[in-house]
Amino acid sequence: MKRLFAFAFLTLWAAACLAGDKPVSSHAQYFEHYEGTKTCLQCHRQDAENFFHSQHYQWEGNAPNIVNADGRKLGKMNTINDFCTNPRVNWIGNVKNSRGEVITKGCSACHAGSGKLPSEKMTEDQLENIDCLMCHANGYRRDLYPDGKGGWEWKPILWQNQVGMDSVAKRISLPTRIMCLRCHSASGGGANYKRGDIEYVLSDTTRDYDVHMGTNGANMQCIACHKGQDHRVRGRGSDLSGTDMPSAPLSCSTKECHGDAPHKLAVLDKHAERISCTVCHIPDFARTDATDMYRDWSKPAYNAEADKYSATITLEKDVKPVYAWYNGTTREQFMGEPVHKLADGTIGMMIPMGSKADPHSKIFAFKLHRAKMPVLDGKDYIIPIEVEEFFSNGNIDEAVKAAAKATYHVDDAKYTWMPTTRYMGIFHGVQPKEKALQCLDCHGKNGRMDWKALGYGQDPLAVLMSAHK
Amino acid sequence: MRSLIKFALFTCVVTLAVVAFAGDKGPDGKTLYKANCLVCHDKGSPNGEYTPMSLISDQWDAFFKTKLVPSHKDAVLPNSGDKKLLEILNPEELKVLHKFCVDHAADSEQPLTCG
Repeated sequence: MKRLFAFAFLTLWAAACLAGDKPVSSHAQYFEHYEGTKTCLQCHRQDAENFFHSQHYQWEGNAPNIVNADGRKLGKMNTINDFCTNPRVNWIGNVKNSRGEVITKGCSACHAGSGKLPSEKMTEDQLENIDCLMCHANGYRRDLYPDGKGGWEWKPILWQNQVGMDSVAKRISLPTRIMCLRCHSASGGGANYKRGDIEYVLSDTTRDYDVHMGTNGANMQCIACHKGQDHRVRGRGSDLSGTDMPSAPLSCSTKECHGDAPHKLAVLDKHAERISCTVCHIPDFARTDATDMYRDWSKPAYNAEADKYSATITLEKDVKPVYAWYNGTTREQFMGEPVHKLADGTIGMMIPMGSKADPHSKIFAFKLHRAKMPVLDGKDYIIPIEVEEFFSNGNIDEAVKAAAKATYHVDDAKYTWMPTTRYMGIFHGVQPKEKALQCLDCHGKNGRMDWKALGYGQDPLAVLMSAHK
Repeated sequence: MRSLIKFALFTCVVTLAVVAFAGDKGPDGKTLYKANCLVCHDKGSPNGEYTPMSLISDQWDAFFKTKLVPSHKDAVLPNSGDKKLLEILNPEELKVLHKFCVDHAADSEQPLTCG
């Protein structure tokens, strides 16, 4: 009975924290002054220790869904992507443009730590590096400041205003949509650049845009689906390397959610046996902010307004997904291994595994991201890029060579630009059934499915119909 | 026909008046902050550095409601011919400044330094 009361109390408390716009001062009674993470550690040491080992802190974790992981722990920290490539070589520091304006502060801006790289060994210093308020305090903002030792650290912008700091530090709640979106929507260099389906607008949108998160829909927080335990978060999309809870993958068809047969029409449930819900219910993505579909690092582009260089990026809005079989596992291109080319000659950065013949596979919706990345001559190793200085000076050759030196210990690296392909699962922006794909969207004359690529000779409905004639 | 012309003229006059009124919005919060606040509270100032993100929104509310007048009653705006700050800013401009500070406070979605 006591447990039931405790559960009911916690549920009500969490709901109260998440529901209102007014910041909730849930921790007013627990401490007087916030003095950094050590204030949190007084009560939450075990939570901090759990968090230290999590994906969100280590940016690495067990990777049973990566078919060529060979038991390695993987994550952003030791892999490479075709957006800003690798955070280790771009971790922290103010980079200014020719006007003296700060244009980038490093990938650690989105690490839930105060600026130190996560270590393998858990120490007091590392526990105090955890920045709990980033994901738990409504109104918490931070910026980069000199750490007094010649380096940089992330500190609350209120570090000189103890009264304000104390007020914000006491507004503790479970993570809200906007807290998650500040990092997960901003990744890749701009709003929605990387993911495509994780848009800022999801923080405050309607059911028409997203049935789950719409405030007049289910009004669910991110953690409603991505809930885990012990600071482990469920879900990996299709292209996370490491994952916190591989034994509990996210699925729409669990009993608590939609079940195996959610439709009124049997023919739709039959489809759902081999087709992910996302295929029909997310007909397009990047509906508000355009997303990066092609990033050519070989061609620096200069933005005069921002006085900043970037890769040449092709942005697209209202993008139709591509469709591929996926059985929950992925093949990834790693650094320090010869590049693996696909049939079209591009390097497969993150490729979903599965096929029509595989009973564990379903057809899923993907964003197909293409890029051009440097590959080390002679070794065929893909090279990350030290993007931070490049943003300021536009010298891409220097940025590639510096990263080749740091990663492969090669001086004056010779390299070749090569095209890459990355599949990224589309899972957010689920629309109401009225907006879902209709039969002819796939089975019509100009249907969106590439039946041949999916392993069908032609539209399977056409085959079925001609058999009945 | 006459009444149609009269109506058309009346509509034109009303439209022009609305457009003219709408165009005269007065200075925005950032301009007001720079001209009236930053001028005495810039980085390194002996009066203390204050930007919108120096305070949280509750602190800005409290400042505009209870502290601004007593703490700035003798404040003179530099380069204004010894005019007092509180005599220069009208109530509407104070409202705009207040909103700007709250909208860009340290706990807002877009904290600003106003630099």
